Amino acid sequence: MLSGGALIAIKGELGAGKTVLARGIIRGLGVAEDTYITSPTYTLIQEYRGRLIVNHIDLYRLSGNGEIEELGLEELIQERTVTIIEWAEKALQFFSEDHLEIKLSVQGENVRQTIFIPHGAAYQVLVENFLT
Amino acid sequence: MYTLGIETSCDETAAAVVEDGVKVLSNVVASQVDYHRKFGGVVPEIASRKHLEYIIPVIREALSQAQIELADISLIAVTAGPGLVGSLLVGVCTAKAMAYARKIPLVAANHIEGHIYGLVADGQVLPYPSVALVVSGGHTCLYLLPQPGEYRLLGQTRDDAVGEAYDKVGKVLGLSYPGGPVIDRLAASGNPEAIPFPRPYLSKDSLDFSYSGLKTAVWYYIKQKVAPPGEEDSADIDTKGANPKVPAPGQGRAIPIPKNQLADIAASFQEAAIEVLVHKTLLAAKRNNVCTVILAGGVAANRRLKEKMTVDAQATGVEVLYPRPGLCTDNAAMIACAGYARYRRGNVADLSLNAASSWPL
Repeated sequence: MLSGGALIAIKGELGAGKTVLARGIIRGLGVAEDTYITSPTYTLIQEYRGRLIVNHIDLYRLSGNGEIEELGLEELIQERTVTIIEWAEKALQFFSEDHLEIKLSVQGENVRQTIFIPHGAAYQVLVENFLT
Repeated sequence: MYTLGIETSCDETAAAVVEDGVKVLSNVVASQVDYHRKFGGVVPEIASRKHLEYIIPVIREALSQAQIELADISLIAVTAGPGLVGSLLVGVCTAKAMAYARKIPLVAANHIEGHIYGLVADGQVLPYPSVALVVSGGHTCLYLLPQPGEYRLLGQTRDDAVGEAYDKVGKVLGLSYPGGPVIDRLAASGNPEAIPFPRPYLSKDSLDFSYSGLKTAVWYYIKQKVAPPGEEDSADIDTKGANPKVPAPGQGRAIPIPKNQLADIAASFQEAAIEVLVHKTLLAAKRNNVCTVILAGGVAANRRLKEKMTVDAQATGVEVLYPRPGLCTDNAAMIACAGYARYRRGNVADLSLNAASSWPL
């Protein structure tokens, strides 16, 4: 369902399942099962090639806005890429444009709540299509 | 023959001079405390700009400590991957420029192979065949080393690296960064059997690892069993995370934990994490009829990992080798040693060398 240029911001506490959700989206974009999709916490950015190029980003280790700017997020979002950002709450100023916000919260040991918040008309349509 | 090693794959700017691929004459890492003082600043997490600032002074310091001139260097070994491309490029470009200017050969060193050569930098001999466990903040992998220069990946993490699990658990316990050494120290006074955290074995046959669930189990335990009612960290998402002074929910707002419980949680987490590492490493050794195991990477400095691996290995007649702690964490001496070995195997890079974020061994 995602198209090039898509931006997804995943928020949620430690262990909420952000990487698990990101892995699902990346697999859905046609990244082969034998490619390990691991946590990008340490590497900050991991790139995968499926139907589109996917940049899987984790802001967990970054502290100030200066460091986030140095990561060059703006340059990563291009026509043929899908950008998925974990710990998006650390770079709120970055998400002023259209994007899909996904909030995960822990309801119980094996229960998670997922809230989709579309920002912009295109993401509104995307979420409506996804939920029907 | 003097090799200059350069390492900038992640947070550390490092340079070292190694003689004949085995004798470390200098080993400078720019995040060392005295170096912070010398340059009057803290080495930041990611900024390749900082690598750029530090790289030349660090190389100068490495040459000076080795008491040689740049003209004495006959080979340059540089980490070309895996790592952060922006960071790697600083080292790679510097190395290329120096190799070109001095008209000396250049070798691209692999960071993971470098960690394994930490043993050589420590004055030990790499045994063949052997099994190597490479564990750090970014890596958790098992390799079979049939002969020099050959690495067969036997298993790796499917989600988080073990060092990452240590750092994240350290954070929810309210400990300082990096979490590994602090948890290790705390665990020494705790009961490793106090809390039965899950051992993520995956399937019995697999030599792959998984640490994401263990990290979540620890966080969940703290929220359920330790947090006083009403003070539990809310799962609601707020927007304060944008302010670096206020950590995002669940990320840094540590729940106050009584000291006796803290040591037990640390010890129980550590035991769960390490039991799986030891079990799978020795299983890999057994399956491949190997009687030597090498521990490498930052987590190889962990006291309990070394202790349990050595004790359990002894029971099956397996020998365990590891470098001293200073050569487990990122450094350039290991890169010089690994690069020199590559050079001896005829593996030289040209000036078109580029950095690679992923570079399977």
